[in-house]
Amino acid sequence: MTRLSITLAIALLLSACNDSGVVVGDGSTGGNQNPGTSGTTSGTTGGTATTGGTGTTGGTATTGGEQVVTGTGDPIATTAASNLDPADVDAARFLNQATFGATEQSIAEFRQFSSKLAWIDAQINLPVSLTLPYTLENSNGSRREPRHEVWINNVLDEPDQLRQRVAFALSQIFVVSDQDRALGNAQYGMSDYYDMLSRNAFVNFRTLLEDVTLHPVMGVYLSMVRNEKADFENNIRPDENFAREVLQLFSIGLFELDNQGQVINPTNPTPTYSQQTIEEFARVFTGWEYPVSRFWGDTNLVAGSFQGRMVPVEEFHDNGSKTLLNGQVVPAGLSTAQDMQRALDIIFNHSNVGPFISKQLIQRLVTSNPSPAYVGRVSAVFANNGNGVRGDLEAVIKAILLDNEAQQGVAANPEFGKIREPNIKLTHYWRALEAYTGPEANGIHRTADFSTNRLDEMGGQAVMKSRSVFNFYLPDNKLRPGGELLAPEMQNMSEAFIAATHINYHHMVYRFHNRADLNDDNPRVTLTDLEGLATLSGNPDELLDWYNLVFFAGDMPDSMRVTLFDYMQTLPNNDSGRFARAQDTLFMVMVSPAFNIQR
Amino acid sequence: MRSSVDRNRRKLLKQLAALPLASGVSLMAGGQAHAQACSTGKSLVCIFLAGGADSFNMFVPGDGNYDTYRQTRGDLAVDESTLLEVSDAAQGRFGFNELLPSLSDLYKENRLAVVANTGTLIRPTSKADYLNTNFLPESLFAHNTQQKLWQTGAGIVSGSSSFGWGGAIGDHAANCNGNISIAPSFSIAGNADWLTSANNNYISLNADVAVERMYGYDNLSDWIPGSRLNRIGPTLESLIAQGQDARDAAMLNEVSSAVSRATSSTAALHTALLENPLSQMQYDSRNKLASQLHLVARLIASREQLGMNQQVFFVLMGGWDTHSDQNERAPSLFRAFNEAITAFQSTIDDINQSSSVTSFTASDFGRTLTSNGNGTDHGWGGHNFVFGDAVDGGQVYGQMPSYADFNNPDDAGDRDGNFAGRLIPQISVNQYAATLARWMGVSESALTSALPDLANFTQKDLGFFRT
Repeated sequence: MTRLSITLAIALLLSACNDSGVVVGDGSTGGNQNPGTSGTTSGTTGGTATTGGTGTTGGTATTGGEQVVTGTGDPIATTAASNLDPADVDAARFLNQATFGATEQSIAEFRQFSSKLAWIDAQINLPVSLTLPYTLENSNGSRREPRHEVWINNVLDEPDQLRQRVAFALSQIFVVSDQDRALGNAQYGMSDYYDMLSRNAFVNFRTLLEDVTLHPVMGVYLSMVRNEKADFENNIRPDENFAREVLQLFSIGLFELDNQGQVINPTNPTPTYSQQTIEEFARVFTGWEYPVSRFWGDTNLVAGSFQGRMVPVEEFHDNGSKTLLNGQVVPAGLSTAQDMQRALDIIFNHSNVGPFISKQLIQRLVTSNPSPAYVGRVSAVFANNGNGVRGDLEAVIKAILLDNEAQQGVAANPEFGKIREPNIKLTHYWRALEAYTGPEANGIHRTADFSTNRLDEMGGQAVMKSRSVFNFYLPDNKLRPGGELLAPEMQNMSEAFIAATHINYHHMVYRFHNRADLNDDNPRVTLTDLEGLATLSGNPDELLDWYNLVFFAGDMPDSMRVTLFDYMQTLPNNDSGRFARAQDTLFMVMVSPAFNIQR
Repeated sequence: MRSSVDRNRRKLLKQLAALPLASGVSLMAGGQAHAQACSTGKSLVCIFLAGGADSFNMFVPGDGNYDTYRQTRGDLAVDESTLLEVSDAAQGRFGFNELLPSLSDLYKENRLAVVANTGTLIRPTSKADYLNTNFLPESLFAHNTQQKLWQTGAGIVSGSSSFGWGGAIGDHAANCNGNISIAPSFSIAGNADWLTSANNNYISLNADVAVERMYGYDNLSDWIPGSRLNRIGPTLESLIAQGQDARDAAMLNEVSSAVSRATSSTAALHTALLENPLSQMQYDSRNKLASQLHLVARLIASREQLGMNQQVFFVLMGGWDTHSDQNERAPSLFRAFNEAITAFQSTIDDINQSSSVTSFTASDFGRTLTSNGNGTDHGWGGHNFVFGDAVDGGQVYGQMPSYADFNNPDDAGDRDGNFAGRLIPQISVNQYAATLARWMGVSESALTSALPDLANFTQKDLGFFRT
């Protein structure tokens, strides 16, 4: 709890001296309420309910007098300091980096482990949650919703949270998108690609790079499938698409980097490759055909064509010698597969890969502006996992999450933090409130309009649905134009998205909850049970502690706490008043500027 | 049902809009010259064809040059018999792609100009310069870099002039518009380097978001009792203000300002847009460019209501990166582009704003003249189109490049003399930008600072506007 401001602490001391500065629950809600939504979670987990009622927080004890603030002449109620168990806060922050949002339950489960490392090891050993089986069952190959439905269900409810979080990050580096006209009808392939990323979340980067390279969905997206050797007579050259992006976006970037991810000599940077290099790589990546195909160019692509790995066809491969990065030569006479292997080896061993990939993974999971030293520490692990192995992603993920900077946050780096990804904000909301699907939803989590459109609307993000290979946002997008600080997700904070996000959370909080009238359109959407929060709001400090732990990992600004506390005083402490307190504060938390920041 | 917050906000906006210009605050500095440059309403629309449009198949050379074009492009060449023929007084006959009749018609009506072989250039660049890598724009042929350089007019990504030239036009428009709370620059396509400015933010709307939901928290709500709604608004405003004022929290400050901008602009825009549906604009609802341009047209129709004199717009159409299946992909791109332009321009004509609205295309780069089997790769120079009644159209500005696949002086070929099919631009983005900005009334001094490399070119105005 490093974030408690001195000012507020002083105010609290003053308020503690005046024990009439107390807001109390009515008799029915005092004491140790379970802050969960359905009574199924353990009351010992949050550090909120259990400690909130113990009278240690200065003026918030629920056992205090029965004073009501609305009457004239009554003392003015003031909020108490946040009272959270530092170990819970540490767990929540970690889980916001490593899962799709901390919850009371996940914090409690996490605390059963002896260490973060032990939790990570357990996560890695969990079975992989897949998307393809569901898509095969529910899509005809063209219908796109099932892919999103199963993704949402997996990241909300399946236990392999870390793997899914890393896979989602990888899907934003090794980008494919079914916005491409050739992939809209390849939903089985899209799902298979995502599952490939999930399976490869903790393998060696070289393996991942090869699986990405040879996946037919990538083959289509960056047009490597059926790329042919040159035909100079007819002015036909090999396709440069994959050759360029595998270098620029998937491995080494545009300029030579130091091992901390900084461009060397930024005023006059050294390009990592030239146009000629691209053309040479384009020659390497010739001769690959769909996995299921009767012959090269077969237009009758059957089920399975977009899954698995592309297959080599030597006849269309350029087997001449090629000069690749830094003058390294792949000799003539090699096969399609051998050329690809050699080229990927050369890419993999370029010194940029560690810092380039490590920094982006840090940005997806932890912070937008890691210190160069942090990137350097992770890059060093990429270069050597301690056993002489380069590219061990399991070791890299551990290095990212267990780094002092990730764990200490602003105490280690004043610029620490990132803007929450829109999808992860939504999953956090649903996970934290133990969202359940409506009676006619067939177990599928949905937003208001029963499609994935609202996902896009709430920040322009939906899994593997970006506008281009440059993802939903660029890793080097500036927080402010012309500034230095990076904030990739800021790229999506448009007026339209912000307003639409507000409206959508408004619908979720005020329409889709346990007291809603299900005769409306609600039976098919995802609902939340707000009774737990309503009960907590009998003592506003307890509710604020709950928000501060679960949603803010202890980082809720003190001024915000005061404002929300004061707001709750304007509503009566009876059943409907408490439900209103829960709804209104929950809505304001979800759309507040502060909740957009993960620190 | 509308909340009283909304009513008050609209009332406030009306009051702001009604303020005499002279009572405007600091932004109004500029005096006579500006007043003149601002005297009429104007809107400029950038249509960005993201991915690198194959403009060589949109506007095709005729006469004796067609055969050269055909020889070089091979299977990708558009059949001569299908072209919509037009001519240029100085350069002879050309043909628009048959799927682009809107461009051809506008050209024949003398209100569309073709600007030939344009691209990112720091200074006039020859083949020798290219081979010796003299003063070349950074990371040629890379999408994101070239998009950024197109939109900023700069030669390097993170130089001193990393703001957009559309942003400089937006600054001018903001001056013209005086003291109103809504920025004059709109992106309907998310992040737009073109509109960035050190002085002003642009508004980012999204045509995919229903107007009903393009609205802040102080929305009409059937779900929150009015008494609570009226307190939630101010409470959220406190949270936003706290975020803007928070110390040592740059990210929170910036996010809070974005939320603040959203909540202060969307209510007024929402109202204006609902009152200007422009339902006469007809197009396939799946046409993303058309739906963006529809929103643009509605904002243009709302100019007066919003208290605006000038506006700047950025729209974007993706899918142009035709590495593969170009002969299958291009027709649907051209059809959608044509439908959008037809629907938009006829709507602008319909609301009598043809003279006050100029639209122009831009793209990452042109594509290779050569094929990669069934598509094209990243090139450099490409053709662009400018249209509207202010445009002195029916002409080609700039010299059409050579399409020859041998000894081509415009080709950015290899050192060993191989033909690359990537054309070195003959017109710089800087010249194109300056011409457009000047029409909007941007001052020469503002142009000089927004486009420092303009000084390297003799011709500082391409002259495609009527005088």
